[in-house]
Amino acid sequence: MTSRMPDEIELLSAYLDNALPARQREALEARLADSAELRAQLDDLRAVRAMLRSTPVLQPPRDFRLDPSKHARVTWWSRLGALRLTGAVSAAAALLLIALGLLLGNAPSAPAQPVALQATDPSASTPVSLQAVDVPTLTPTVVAPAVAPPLMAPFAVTAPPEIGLLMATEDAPSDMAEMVSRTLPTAAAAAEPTPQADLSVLSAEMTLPPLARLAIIVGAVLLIVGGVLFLIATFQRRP
Amino acid sequence: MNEQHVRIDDLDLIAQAQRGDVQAFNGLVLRYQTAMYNLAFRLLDDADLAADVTQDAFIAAFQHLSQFRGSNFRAWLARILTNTCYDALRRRRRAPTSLEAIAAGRADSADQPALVSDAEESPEQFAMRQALSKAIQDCLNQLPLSFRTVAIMSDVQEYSYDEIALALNISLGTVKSRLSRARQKLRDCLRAVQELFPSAYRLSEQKDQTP
Repeated sequence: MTSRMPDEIELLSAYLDNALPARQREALEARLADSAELRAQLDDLRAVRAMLRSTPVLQPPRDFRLDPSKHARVTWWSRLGALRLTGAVSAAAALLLIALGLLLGNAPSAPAQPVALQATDPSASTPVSLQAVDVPTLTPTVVAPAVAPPLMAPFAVTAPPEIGLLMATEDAPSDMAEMVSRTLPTAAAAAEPTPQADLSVLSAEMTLPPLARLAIIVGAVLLIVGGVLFLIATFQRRP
Repeated sequence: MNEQHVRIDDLDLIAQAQRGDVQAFNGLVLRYQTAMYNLAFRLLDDADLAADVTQDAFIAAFQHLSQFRGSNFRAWLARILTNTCYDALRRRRRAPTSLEAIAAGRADSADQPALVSDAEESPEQFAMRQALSKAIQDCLNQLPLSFRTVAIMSDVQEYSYDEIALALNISLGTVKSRLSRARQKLRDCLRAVQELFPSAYRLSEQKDQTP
């Protein structure tokens, strides 16, 4: 008997399960009729199978159903919807900030209250709205920073969703805070190279029209809302 | 016993679950959890580990449900479950405690907590049934893993050869040869403890004729 051929036990085992092709089955049945030893082997295999089948079915110790709150699948369209909302919120923020830029650009530079804005403001991480409220006046050259956030915002909207929105909603608030408080000169220089764009310029004074102030607050709030939405969309459990 | 383990309502539930419906998937869990837990328990001989593995397998099944294209959900689940079991066995082998120590620690009948006494059987019958169940499990434990899996699926859980081939990704010929080898080894092992068995299960007294 070669190794390629099923051995006798294998034939008997398959025969037991009625898994032999007709010709093999008939040949084996003929030999079984002749051989008591073969029949005894078949009986043994049958007894083994019967013993295994007799093993009791065990009751599972607990229920394995999944908790819908933990395993709810975030489908791609719900994810897309959240991203779309984030994008809309960010775009609205961008529009408001552009409007602010225009308002500031046309604003008469009548001096009013002194500026609280400091380049070394320790609360750089505070949402921009707080600082914006505290900063009623800016130098004329500070028009540039108001333009800078809109420059960021279009980038956020057109960039690949995940990265772009991260920029727009997560980084943008702190970016803005920095721009207003610290990196303003750099941002201003990048937007429109101004020789005076340095720290001393920041402490100068100018008026901020009430509408512009409102635009800054609303724009910043929208950016924060967009950021929170983005974080929710990102960290929802993936399937 | 060889019926296709696909039911029309299975396919409905699968389609819903594939769209992310956890409740629909839970309908499938309810249907298959006893079979899957028993398969895991027989493979691992450890009630707690079997429960953990079964849970993990159902979670994995839900997460990869989009990959189910076939028609036999039971075999597909069994494939995930056996792979999860193999991973658990590999981890256990790497763990400091030896298998023998674990087995010795569970030498009492506490490793089969769910074996419930039948109201109609005498304490003696219950004890014998327990002893038999344990003897069979001990013999299964001695089989190489690939033989053990086939023996449990075929003879304990009554999967068809086709289903086993599908679940384990092996050929029908391999199913047949592994099963026959497993049955021979089980026969030899059980012969040594056959005073436990009811007469219906008596094996012949002849010595092993096969290598």
